[in-house]
Amino acid sequence: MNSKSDRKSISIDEVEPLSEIFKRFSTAAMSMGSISQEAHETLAVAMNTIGGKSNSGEGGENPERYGTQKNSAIKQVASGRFGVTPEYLRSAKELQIKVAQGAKPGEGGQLPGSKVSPLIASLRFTKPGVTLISPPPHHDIYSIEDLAQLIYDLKQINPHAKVAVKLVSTAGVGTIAAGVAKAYADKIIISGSDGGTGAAPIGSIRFAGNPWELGLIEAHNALKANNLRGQVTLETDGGLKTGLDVVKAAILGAEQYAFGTGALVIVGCVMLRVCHLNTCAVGVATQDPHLRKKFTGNVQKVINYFTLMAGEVREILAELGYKSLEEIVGKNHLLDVIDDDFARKFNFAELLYKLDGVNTCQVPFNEPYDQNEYEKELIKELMPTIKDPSTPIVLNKEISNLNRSFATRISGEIAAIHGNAGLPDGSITLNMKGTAGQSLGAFMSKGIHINIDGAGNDYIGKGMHGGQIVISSSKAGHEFALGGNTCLYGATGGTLYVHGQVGERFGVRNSGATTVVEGTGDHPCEYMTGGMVVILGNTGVNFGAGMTGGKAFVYDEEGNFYEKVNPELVEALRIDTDEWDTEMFELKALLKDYAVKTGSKRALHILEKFRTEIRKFWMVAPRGIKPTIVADKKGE
Amino acid sequence: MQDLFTSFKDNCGFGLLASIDNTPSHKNLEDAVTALSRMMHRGAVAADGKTGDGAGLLLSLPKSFFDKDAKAQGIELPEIYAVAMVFSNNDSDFDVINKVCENNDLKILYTRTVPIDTNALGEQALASLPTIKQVFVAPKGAVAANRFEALVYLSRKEIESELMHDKTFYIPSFSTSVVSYKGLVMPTHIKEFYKDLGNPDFEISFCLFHQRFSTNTLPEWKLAQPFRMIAHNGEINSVTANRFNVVAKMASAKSDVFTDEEMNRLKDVIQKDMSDSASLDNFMEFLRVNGVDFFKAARSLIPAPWHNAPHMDSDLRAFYEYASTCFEPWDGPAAVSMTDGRYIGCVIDRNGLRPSKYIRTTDNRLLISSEYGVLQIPEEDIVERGRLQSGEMMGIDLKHGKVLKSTDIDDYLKAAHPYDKWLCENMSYLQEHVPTAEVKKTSIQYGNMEERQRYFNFTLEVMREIIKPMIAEGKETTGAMGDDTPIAAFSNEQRNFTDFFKQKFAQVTNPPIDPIREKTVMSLNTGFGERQNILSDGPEHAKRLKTVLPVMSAEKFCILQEFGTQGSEKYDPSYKVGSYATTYKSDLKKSLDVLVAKIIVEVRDHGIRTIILDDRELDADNKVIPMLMVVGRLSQELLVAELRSLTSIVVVTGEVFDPHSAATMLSFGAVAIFPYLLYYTVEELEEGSDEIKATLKRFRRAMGAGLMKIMSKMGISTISSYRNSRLFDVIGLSSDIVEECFDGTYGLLNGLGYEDIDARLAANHKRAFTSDFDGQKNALYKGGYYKYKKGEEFHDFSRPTILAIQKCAETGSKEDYAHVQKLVNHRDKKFIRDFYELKE
Repeated sequence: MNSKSDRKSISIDEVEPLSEIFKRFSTAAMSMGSISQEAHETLAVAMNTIGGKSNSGEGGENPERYGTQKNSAIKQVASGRFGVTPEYLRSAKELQIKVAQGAKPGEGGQLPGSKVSPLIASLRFTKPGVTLISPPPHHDIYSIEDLAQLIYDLKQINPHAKVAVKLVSTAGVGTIAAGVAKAYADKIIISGSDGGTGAAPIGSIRFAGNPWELGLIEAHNALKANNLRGQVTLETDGGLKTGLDVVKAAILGAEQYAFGTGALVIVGCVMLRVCHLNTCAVGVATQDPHLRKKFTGNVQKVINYFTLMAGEVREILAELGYKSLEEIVGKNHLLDVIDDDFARKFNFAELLYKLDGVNTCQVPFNEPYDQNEYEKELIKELMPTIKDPSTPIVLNKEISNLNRSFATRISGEIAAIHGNAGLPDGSITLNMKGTAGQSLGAFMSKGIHINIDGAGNDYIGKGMHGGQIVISSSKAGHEFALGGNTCLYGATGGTLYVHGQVGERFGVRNSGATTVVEGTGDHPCEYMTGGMVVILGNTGVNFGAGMTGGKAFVYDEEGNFYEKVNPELVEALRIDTDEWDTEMFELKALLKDYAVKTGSKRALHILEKFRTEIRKFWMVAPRGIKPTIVADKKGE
Repeated sequence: MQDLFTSFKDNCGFGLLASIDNTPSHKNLEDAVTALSRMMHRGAVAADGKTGDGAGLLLSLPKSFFDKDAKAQGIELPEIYAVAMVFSNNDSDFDVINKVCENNDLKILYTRTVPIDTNALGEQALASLPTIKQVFVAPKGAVAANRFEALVYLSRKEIESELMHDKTFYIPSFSTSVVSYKGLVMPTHIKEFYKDLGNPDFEISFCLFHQRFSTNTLPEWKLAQPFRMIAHNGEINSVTANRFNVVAKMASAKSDVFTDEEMNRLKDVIQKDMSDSASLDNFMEFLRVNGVDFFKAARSLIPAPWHNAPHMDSDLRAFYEYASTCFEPWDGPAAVSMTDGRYIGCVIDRNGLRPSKYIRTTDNRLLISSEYGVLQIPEEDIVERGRLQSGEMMGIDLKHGKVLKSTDIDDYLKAAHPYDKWLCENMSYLQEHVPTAEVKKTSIQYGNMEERQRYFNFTLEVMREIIKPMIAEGKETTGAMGDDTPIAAFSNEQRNFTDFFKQKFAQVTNPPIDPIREKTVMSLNTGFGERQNILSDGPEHAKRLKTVLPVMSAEKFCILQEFGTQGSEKYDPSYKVGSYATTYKSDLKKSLDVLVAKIIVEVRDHGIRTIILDDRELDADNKVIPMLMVVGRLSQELLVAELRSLTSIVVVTGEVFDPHSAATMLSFGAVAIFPYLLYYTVEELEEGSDEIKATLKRFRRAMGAGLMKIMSKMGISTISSYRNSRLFDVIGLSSDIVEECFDGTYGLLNGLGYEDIDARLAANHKRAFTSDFDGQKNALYKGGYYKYKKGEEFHDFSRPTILAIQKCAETGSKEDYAHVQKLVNHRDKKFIRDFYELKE
């Protein structure tokens, strides 16, 4: 490669060392669940060893790995929110919001029950053997301002992590990228349609999304045209294999590079394309203990390959006369269209745009306009208790809808010191008057009690892990709404009482929170895998769609609930029978607590006439409520 | 691609505030501004706190304020007048306004320069600040109020069209009842910017408000919302189809308000180069000014999910099914506040994807907004605090001072006409006639079956990986890992024409739907027949032939033909069938031109309504034009010829073999598909089965589920919104092909032209019809597209490459790595990056 670029070749010794190049490498998101523990940890240790980053994928991570070489530097936040706890989020250097995946953009996913081993289930706060569903959308991102809100939530829980948003190449991804930059993401990933998956409809793998080159070129230039390129880092992935691939990706605008299928091949994948069947013969994409023993990958292999690849990058840089990858990002004058008849049929030359402006990220963080001074001030008051919870604290404050993600920053501080164990119950009590903003108590840690005299908005208790939120007001009860849409999305614990109605998709993907409300919109308890939901009033339709765990109790005063249930996976049962006495009295105990904390007339009425009113309750639970246990395979 | 760098999508915080009894006050204005300011976090804010993507208010006319202001100029405003808010950069624009108004019997009373304070603007807004004026207009003689409103609308459309090339000229509002104050200004600064708004005399009784969050940083004054009637939070996923359909509908629109000549003058209902929300506003306004009921218009364009809602009131369902014969849902996340001056309301999309919350207060006001708490209202002043649920609408009858809840509106809508009766008498489901269908066994031999299978790429792999699993599992099968093959344009193997098309999908600005767990909001319900006048109502509108799945069985296809064939008992000229073979011998482009021209003539002059495009005449002498190319081109040409709304395009094709190929046909305008070769193949695979009918039905369901999956990726719930949506990217076809056949689709990496495709088809044809292919008679191709097979389609992770990677990972040796470099870096023109080399 005799470079006549704009520079003379330089000695390879002048080129940045391998370690600098490794910093730009990561392994693509592959969950503990879709791939084996051996494969997952091998990639993590290898990346941490060379200074790259591995990605947890969607499915939580064993807390034992946090703070060790096995910790994934990138923690993914995907639509299923499996295992997304305060400590999980706090353990990351980078939080990646997977909006789309190259192999199946616009779709959710499934981890078949056969791959949900006891370990996988515990990491995801679910039960072994039960198929896990990730919804197609993030239920808290239907819109760009919603994404801005989630980015804001994540920047509160972990102010030290970069927030990345993963998009898939398609015409128009540029304007999406610009919007994402305006929503204060620190990094944007443009994935190619050639990205892999553990399972997807075969047509989706083939026919949705475009090659990464097209998306990267568009995103890089759209960010430049909108004067936003300097605010964000761009990464790309999609079949990258060699140093030459990396250099070309850099020249087309990417500062960082991820490797998915390639990384799996290094540790033994031979493209059997059976990840979804749990029969991977090389122990890479299986949870079967016997097949896992056949895993031949190891850390050294990964390091070897990445070293060779980065070495090639250095050689090319030397040829081109550049000392670092940073210097060639976006320098597309270094590329020529090949001299070839077939190539001339297409407008390749046109793709080499030359817009003015910087080609790389210029800021350490893309800071939001709203710096959350309100809560930073609160933290000053709370810090002594967070550090030493032996002295509980009670604060009385006013709140408004401008105070978003309330208690999330506090929760992050708690998680940083105490992990998911949080603080002892009731260490911090926050009595707030007014209407709380979006994402009240998002990713909340144990030990916080919030009492709102007023109302909440959308996403109350999103990703909540512990503590208690109580919302009531003088204008409350089943006729009033006191909360918005998508509350308790992906919650893993804690308690939420809303003395009134809430909106659509209440308790979506809840896997551990306990809650009482007095009415909901459509699609309640969708994809729920755990926790206990009590609704003392009307619900919308499509109740329990995709619900594979947990229990819901609905007070059906008008006698029209049964029709609202989506019977595909769940059944509605009466509970005033001998068989369900545990559940019945569990419900009663919960209602007592709820009545005390909210003063709900309806709850008091039910408790007073419990023997009559219990007849109006339905319990909704997955059919054959006992979970199916993993069937042992192959005649074991 | 360059145009994409500056394109945009937008979302927001929105709402409305109204005195239920229509009492004007300045407090209403102040509170609306406060509410808007307290949702700034839902918009975009630049570091200076002044630059955003736009905000605005659509206000009831502040009559006392305008009266006073006019008086100060020595002008007495009449009882009835209209105000145009105008953004302009040229004085000559006002000559155009003058001329058009004059021509439409309107007189200009006076023109007022709207007082502004530019200190309220950020740098970017200031740079693009237009002159802002208000033009007061009255009718020249005595006219009815609705005629005056119509003339005002007509004038605005004509002015817009005359000044179309002036990108900055814009009329934010021109109305007798509302006026717009909007622009590139932050809510916190809007009162400072528009000095009028600070004047205590400026009293309004209702208001829509909106703050925009655009994905780009090149906001324009005109794109700020509200528009003339609506403020929209969300995204219209189906907007390409909706715009296309509006044009189609215009051909048969007859108005009671406008003469035919006037209708011709306002043909461009949808303003060009505006946002999805603006297009919805355009259409809503068009319907309203033509006398379509406010609530009917709203619920026809944004209906509740009625198809699979057995619990819904049957009369209400009848209204929705009736409305669906004229209107396709403008589908996607939507919270839309809207007003026509008489009513004000808010509607939520069928799936509840945008928030909308309301509070009614003791001072008889209603506030609807994205969030609670945007006004600090003491709890004791709250009468009602609620939220709008999926598919609900609420409104206020401002004249009678009455709040209308969703059920009130539903009761009103369903009682307007005997919809149920009209449907019972005029609508027919094909299924009803299936028992009478006389179908020859579908396994009937067309001859040359293996040649056909080869021509259409029904490889052994397709049988094994696609068709058989769909038979066995009743759904599209699951695969794993990624696509490591070249795109169709770069492939050296025989590829399907539909492979050039890549599905679009929702990300960030709109959500995909779960077609399994949320299938209650989805439907593939399909109708055949002419579209009636959208501006009137009557039993004839209900006349449709219907089926629940656009992939038709042989029986249904047969019945459809009976309805359209003269001499048949069922014959009805509204469904008159014309069948057209899509075969050709040479010159693809010319053959396509000839075929399409012929069909246009037959539709226009011979009353053809059901166009059947048929590629069954494929044989050793005849190739076929790619069906997708015919569908796309024909649909476009019919639109230009103003015949689109009369016709239904049905395809009989071997090109459809999976959900993707079926989706391409529908997305470019086909209404139904009869995939004869696929059915033949299923029957052949299931030979000997007693349950072939049930198997075929299951198979069609699987195709249907696959179609729903593809629609749902784009967040589209009904096939009627998906049809004509063109939701694909085309990679590697020439711009000629894209423009002539697939207009509205994004063409990337323009390349292969008609001749190239022609040459590929010729080669495929020759190979397919070589009788001793592969040394054996009747053999199918092996195929190696889905999984690597030596000697077939290129896979970047081929066996040799995998082995090479693993070897060098093991050894860490540069020599072993060189082998990987050779296989990957010198693979030769398989991926886009391979077409670029480092400068030498």
